[in-house]
Amino acid sequence: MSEDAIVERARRTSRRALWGTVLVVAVIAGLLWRNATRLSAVEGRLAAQADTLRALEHQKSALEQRVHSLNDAPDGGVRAARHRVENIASVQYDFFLWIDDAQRTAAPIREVRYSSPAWADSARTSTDARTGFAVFRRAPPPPCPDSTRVTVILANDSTLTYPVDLCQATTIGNR
Amino acid sequence: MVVAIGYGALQVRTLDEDYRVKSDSLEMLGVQADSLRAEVERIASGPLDSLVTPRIVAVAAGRVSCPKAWDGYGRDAHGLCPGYGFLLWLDVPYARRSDIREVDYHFSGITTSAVRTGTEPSNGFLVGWLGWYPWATIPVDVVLKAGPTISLDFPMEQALRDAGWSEGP
Repeated sequence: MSEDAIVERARRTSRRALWGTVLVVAVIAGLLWRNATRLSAVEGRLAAQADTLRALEHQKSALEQRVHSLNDAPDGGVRAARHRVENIASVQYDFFLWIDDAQRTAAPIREVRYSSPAWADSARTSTDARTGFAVFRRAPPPPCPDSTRVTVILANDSTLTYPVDLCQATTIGNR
Repeated sequence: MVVAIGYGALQVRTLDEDYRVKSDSLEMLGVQADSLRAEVERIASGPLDSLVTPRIVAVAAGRVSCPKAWDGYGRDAHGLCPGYGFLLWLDVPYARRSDIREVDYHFSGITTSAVRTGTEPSNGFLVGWLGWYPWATIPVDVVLKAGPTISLDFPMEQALRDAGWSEGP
């Protein structure tokens, strides 16, 4: 083989190597560019999505609050009724206390305690959701205005306290 | 270099997956928000007949006189049976109570019939009585300030039995 042929062969090999290298670099650069653009696009979409998510969560919370305010009375649904006891010398009432909308609190109710300064003995407590946590107490009429307190204990251990005036309790009759 | 490309591709795939998961959450939140919007609309201005439900509780309260027919169901020698305070009211959203003028509960007995009227919105138009047994069903008229009266039958005894009531025959 002549010297020229050897040189020509080396040139060809060198050119092939050069084009091969250019091709590899181009592929790598293309892949890097593709990754970078996809990453940037996804990050952009995620950021926009996070904004929408925050806005929707805020909207949902406001709507839940609206449903709550439309449904629930500010008195916590505490109700009281009284029935005058007949055929006894002293004036006595049968008092009934319960929770009207027990199903609508943020967490389920675990227990409700009713305590009146007019009741000499302990407070009344109910854990029975089926009766609206109702309690019964026979007692003389309290001094008016009355300041009975109703403590609602939720399943998550938080408590809500409401005042109720037994002097304003709805009077009920006999069958 | 290959590792860097692979890592980049993996990161893109992870973020894509994150985006898909969050898209599902967004879709769910959208559905929930739509449902809440519909609920607000229903409560605030929907027809009242779909929003009112009579409710009752019976609270044990000493003993009361009861008829002889109650022999065998807890009636003692003095003619007394276990007594209950029956408390009957209308469950209605707070915001719609002011649409109601009064609620008439029609009690019909063997010898007497009576209408008891609840007029106080703050206690859910409550009526109550001390007795030994509920009525089976009572007609309830919800009289609106504007619009036709809503009439419904309230299966009182069944409502109490559903809540665990087990007295009587």
